[in-house]
Amino acid sequence: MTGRHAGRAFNAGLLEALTEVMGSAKDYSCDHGPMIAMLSTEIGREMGLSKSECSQLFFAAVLQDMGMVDLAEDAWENPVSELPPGVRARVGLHPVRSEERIRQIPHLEVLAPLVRHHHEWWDGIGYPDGLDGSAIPLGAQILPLSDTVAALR
Amino acid sequence: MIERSVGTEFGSEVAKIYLSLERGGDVPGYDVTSFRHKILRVTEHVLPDELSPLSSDQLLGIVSNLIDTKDPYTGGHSCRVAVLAVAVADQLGLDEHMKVTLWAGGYLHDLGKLGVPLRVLTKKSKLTEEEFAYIRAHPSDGAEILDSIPTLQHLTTGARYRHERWDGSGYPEGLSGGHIPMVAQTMAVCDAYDAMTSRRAYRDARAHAPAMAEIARCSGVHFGPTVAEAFLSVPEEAFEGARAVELERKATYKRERPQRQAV
Repeated sequence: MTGRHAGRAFNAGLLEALTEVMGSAKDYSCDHGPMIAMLSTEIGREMGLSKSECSQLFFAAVLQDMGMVDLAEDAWENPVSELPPGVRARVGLHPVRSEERIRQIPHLEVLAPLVRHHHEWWDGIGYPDGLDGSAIPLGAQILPLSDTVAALR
Repeated sequence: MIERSVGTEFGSEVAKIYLSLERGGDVPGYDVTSFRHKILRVTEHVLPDELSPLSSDQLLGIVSNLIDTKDPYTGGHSCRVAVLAVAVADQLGLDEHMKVTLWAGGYLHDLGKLGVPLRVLTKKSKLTEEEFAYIRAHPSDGAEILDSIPTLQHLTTGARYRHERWDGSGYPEGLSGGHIPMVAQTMAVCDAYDAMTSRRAYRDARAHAPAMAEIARCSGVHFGPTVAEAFLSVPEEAFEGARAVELERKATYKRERPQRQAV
């Protein structure tokens, strides 16, 4: 149906809307999402990832918290340690829920590992799988660092 | 800050690259121009390889899927409104440009809903004045996002005015009659029909026939008479098409659910 729309510029507009939407769903300052996406692709480029891999990183940065959208606002706005156990468990599942959603979208299956593992820690105490070191996909190592940097700026 | 977390939260290789960017002053800041430029480049090197670009329809699907996720009662709603709006446009004899606008606009019309707190969307009892203020603001909020993106600006009108009513009793601006843009009038009928035939926190779903009777009853009150008449003459297949979207969603949800409980 959108044959006439299918220009690059329209797609780019949609992607921008998507970034904004994720940002407003999370009630972050409006530049948090774009910052993570831009910094992640920049780090990826410096590490020698291909253009296509950098694009994947950009999409993964935008979509990594899809699984959080239908959680109540208090789950977004409070530190995880202060949440009631039930809510905390759901927050802990959000990378898995994001991954489930991503897998249902044609062409985006490729992002699944990045999205699933964006809360793993290098020393293995992260979630959901407690992967450590280089067992964590490279993109999924980049995303949380960008998130921290964006949150600090 | 990053340095302190190397070896615990972050791997040293990734941290090293970041820190060298930081030292060189090459950490990208945010400004809308460079972000748009970046997005254009990203959409050029599309997923998963250069041979199968993400189509606009797929991207629309992703965005609307996210919008519909926010409100558990409106799964598939955006897509159904898009399907129905194009069917009404056919009846009205609108041109191709209007149809495409209704299609993409249908997908994106609820964009502003993401800013409405979940407690308001899922409340079973009557909303307080403060809670209803969120509901009244959501068309304008969504329209503002669309308006800020040059290539989506043409979708702003439908998002902003689809809660206006023919008799002027709607929101956000209280426009009436022919002052309400055609695109918005069309979306209003489709949006209302789909809302009536879907379950909500505060009531059950209505069947097709009573919903159609309600549209007829509200013609010239809530809905423009021309658009309401066009809606009532939409062939049955179009409604079936819109419902098929819903069935597909339910099937997906069932596949997904056992996994979720097992975790």
